[in-house]
Amino acid sequence: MSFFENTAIKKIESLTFLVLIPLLAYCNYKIFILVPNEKVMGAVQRIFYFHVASAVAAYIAIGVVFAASVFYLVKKKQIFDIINAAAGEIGFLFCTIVLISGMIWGQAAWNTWFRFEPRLVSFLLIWLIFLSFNLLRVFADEKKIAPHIAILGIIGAITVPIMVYSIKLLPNIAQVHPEIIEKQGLHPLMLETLFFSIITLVLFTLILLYFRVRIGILDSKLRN
Amino acid sequence: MINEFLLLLGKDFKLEIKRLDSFILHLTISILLLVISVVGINSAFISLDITRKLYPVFIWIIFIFTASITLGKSLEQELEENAFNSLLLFNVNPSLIYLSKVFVNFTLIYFVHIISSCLLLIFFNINLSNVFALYLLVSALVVFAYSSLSTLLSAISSFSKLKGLLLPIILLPLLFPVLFAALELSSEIVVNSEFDIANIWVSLLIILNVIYIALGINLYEFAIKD
Repeated sequence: MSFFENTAIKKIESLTFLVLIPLLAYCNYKIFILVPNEKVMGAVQRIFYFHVASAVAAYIAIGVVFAASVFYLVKKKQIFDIINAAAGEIGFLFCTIVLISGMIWGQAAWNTWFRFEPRLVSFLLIWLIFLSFNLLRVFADEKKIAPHIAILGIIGAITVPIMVYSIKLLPNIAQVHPEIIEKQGLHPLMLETLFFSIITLVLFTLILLYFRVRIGILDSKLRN
Repeated sequence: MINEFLLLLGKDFKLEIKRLDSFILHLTISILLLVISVVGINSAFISLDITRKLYPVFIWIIFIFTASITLGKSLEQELEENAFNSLLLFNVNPSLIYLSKVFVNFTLIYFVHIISSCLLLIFFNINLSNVFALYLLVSALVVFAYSSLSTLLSAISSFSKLKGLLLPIILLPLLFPVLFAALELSSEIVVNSEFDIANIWVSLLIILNVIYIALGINLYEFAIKD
């Protein structure tokens, strides 16, 4: 636990902020100023950079939940439960962003807020998994909270790829985006901005995770 | 190990038969929901073709709703009497406790599901006589996947502050792949009266059954031990 009190770590934390803030600002500059408008959808297509990057961040959170859950059950160390809680909350946040941005994009592109489209439905169901995961932390038995959350984390993380695959098998469901954009090909600047926004948001996710874990450690110190 | 499992299975069956409350509760709620569905369908003046298409939706909604209520209560008595700790003190393998619970829950909810399915077929005036065996087979795969996952998660929910009420909240989001397979396969059987055993949904159901059982065997210990 003394890891966070180390002066070198504190310097790295300050440096990370110094790097992340200009990176986020430049990312927004690229998205809103540099990138050209998409021909069919126009300016609203710019939501795509936040939407895809948030989806990647949510998938990373699922990976962290799975790893932390397995490590908790094997090692029985509280730090893995704290990481699990942090990843669950951050995953829920990014899933919500994906859903809301997807619905705004859907309203502009298809004139409807929600459509039975594989990726939108997948994220609605992943959002429900994250919701139940976070609710369990509220209602679980305090003595067994960590192993129970870890069990749900493992089952949830294993279910996600199966669910995404099973939704694609449904007969009355059509992939509308972003395959269309991919097939038509992205402007090189659009592609570059997309990768830049993904990298920036992944970095932002990792920093959020780091600080949430830190808060979790302080919280457990206070409780003990 | 097999003897130990058979002893546990016998104990769980005896307990269920002695109590019977889970079975009566499950069957009564199922019948109530069936009647509500039939009243709804009749008041909408829907043709037989559309009724056939709606049959899988109604039967699986009724199944999921009633089974979650029943299984949510299944472990409560054991926890009140501290039966798990007694079993663990005698060094009984938690995986065997889990498997025994899965088989008992499966038998209970599968039996009620068959009764509800037959009643709904009669109420909806659908004849499935030539493909009913296939319907039972698909139902068995779906109900077994449901039992294996819900038995593991009911151990978690029974320890929580909300008890059985928490089970549907943590179980249903994870159950969607099973539900998709159940709806697709039953639609094929009820609407088209034909069924290909090499269907991708059957493979998916078998894989899900294997995954859920493997997870349950490995994780049940962590759910019930102090």
